[in-house]
Amino acid sequence: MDRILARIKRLPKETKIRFIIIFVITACLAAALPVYSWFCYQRKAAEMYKVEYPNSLYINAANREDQVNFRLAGINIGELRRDEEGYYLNENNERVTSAELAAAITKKQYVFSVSGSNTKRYILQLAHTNNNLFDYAVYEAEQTSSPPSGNVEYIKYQIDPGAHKENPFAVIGTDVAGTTAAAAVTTSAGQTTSPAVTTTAVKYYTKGSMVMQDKDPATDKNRSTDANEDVHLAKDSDIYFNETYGSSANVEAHAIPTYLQKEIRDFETDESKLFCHYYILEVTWNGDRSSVEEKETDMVYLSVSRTN
Amino acid sequence: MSKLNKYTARSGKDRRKKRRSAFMKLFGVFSIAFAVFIFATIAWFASNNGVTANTGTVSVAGFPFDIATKGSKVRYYDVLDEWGEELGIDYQTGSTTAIDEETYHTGDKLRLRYDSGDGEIGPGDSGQLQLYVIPRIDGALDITVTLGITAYAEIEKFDADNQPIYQKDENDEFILDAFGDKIQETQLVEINSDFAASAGALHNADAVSEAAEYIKAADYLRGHILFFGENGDTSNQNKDLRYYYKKPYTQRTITKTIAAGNKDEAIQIPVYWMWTDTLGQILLPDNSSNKRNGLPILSDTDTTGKAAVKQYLISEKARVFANSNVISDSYINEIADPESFDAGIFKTLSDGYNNADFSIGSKVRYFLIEVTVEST
Repeated sequence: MDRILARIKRLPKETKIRFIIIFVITACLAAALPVYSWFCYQRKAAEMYKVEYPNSLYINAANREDQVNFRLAGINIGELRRDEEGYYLNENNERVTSAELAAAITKKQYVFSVSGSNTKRYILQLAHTNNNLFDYAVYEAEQTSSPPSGNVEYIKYQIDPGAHKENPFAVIGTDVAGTTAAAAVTTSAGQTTSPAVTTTAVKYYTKGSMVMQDKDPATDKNRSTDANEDVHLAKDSDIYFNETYGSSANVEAHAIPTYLQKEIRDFETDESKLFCHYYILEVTWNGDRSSVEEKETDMVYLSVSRTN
Repeated sequence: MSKLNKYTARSGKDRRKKRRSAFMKLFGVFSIAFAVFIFATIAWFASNNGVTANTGTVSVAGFPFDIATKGSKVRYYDVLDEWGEELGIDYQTGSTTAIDEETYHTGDKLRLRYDSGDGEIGPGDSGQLQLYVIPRIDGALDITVTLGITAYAEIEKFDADNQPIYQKDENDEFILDAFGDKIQETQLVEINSDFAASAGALHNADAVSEAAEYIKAADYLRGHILFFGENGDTSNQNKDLRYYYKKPYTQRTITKTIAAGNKDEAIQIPVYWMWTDTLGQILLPDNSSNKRNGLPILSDTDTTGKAAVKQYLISEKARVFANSNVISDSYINEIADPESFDAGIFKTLSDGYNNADFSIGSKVRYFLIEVTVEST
């Protein structure tokens, strides 16, 4: 071994360099050859898929707050019209001096929201019993962070902090402590606007066009074929009656529910495919107290289902 | 005469002769080396692409196998190369030439399935790869199948001034959507470590700033798609005994020996994949907790498979759970054991799984399941 090393040492510099080059090239070839042969026996295939954007649909209280904040408090039909400072108002919303001159309230409005992602169509449904002589209607609503200008009727809504546990999408703006700002939602005209980012704790809702309402039960008695936007009062021989009560005829007439539904479609979503629509549920009654003295409880159901 | 004198005594003529001969030798060596180099290069090309080299002197040993596919949704063109920038367009407007469903299509780069793009997939979807291997030799063939997933994002394009670029028709008019809005041009970008650079080239600042989330989403996709080797039983009369698959390929490689005597026969390599909807279907050992929604991916009695999948969830937890930073291995072990089931822990894990799904859906637009078949 020593002799070999000695001999290598004795070699001229030129020869040593040659030896090194040869050694390196051989090593490279040795490494390259198996790689080439590995490539030789390889074939590839692939299958391609398109991923669906996550879809979701929520029904929430105003400002997309948790459902518990949608409160259909008791309706006092004897209540008189007052302004925010407690003054009585007449028919024209003018302040009057006494309760005798004040106009009676004939309606109550409740705001709720439908929001979600990657939804092209959904059906909004309302069902209610008919114990009270109330009429129900659903309107589109526009949310703003300041009161609408002019003599426009609006609903003022006090934000409940920390009320976004159900709907994981961030509420637009930074108006609720603890929620992060999200990109403004672009929606079609008349349904929702993108409210400015403010720190106010109040939202204002203005009524838009009507979505659906009760019709005269007498004329709608047997209508059940058009499922898109009609009112269905479940009555004898109606499929809605049969599905609910079967062949039983002994059902209290006012407990029989009325169903309303409308398919909402062709609305815009933002770049993240999110949307948010606000609605007002309006309950109206005849101001004549004598017709509504027998107070009863009604059950009201709101639901949405995705249809795409 | 001394040794030295012997050399110095040589005439100039001798030295020239010696130099020439050395040069000739060197030239010869180089020529041979060059020839070897050429042969190797041509041989590689010829073998890999299945073309015949024009030089008569080169003879290439046959490829030991081909991969093949068949079915109505197959495209057998060499399209993988085009799946770069033109990916989406190619995918949606690809040729619609009628294809004989019984023919096996072979090639170097196969597309196993073609879809018009209507079929969007999400959690809960599954499928089978139509993959066949056709041995071209008489003897037994050992193959290794490697499965991989490549994700692509659809990125909106901006110009150098960061203004959106909108789609135009052939008359140079803007194309409008149903709401009368202009449609921004998009491009599919492979989600890899160069994603930020690719998105930057399209001047999409949002995508650049969210590059880490895109890369994470692609990783979640790799974690959420599971591969299997055999169909399960989804039609058992006893609903409690139904399950989707057998033989989970948690290592993503399949080794198989095709017996001798199968030359030119198409041998199917069964590969099933599933993007499981909920974690409960993967991890819960049974439904005693009543938390399992949908059929389990593996039979409750398949303890080997279940153990492999559990190990997979532990070792790949960063690719399975969006909240992997708060998940310890013991969480997964506890949920996999009916004795130590804890609803709170299960919710933590499920939330992480579902949030990862959401991340995939909102960031990844297309993905490829890539199959590499090798023989040794």
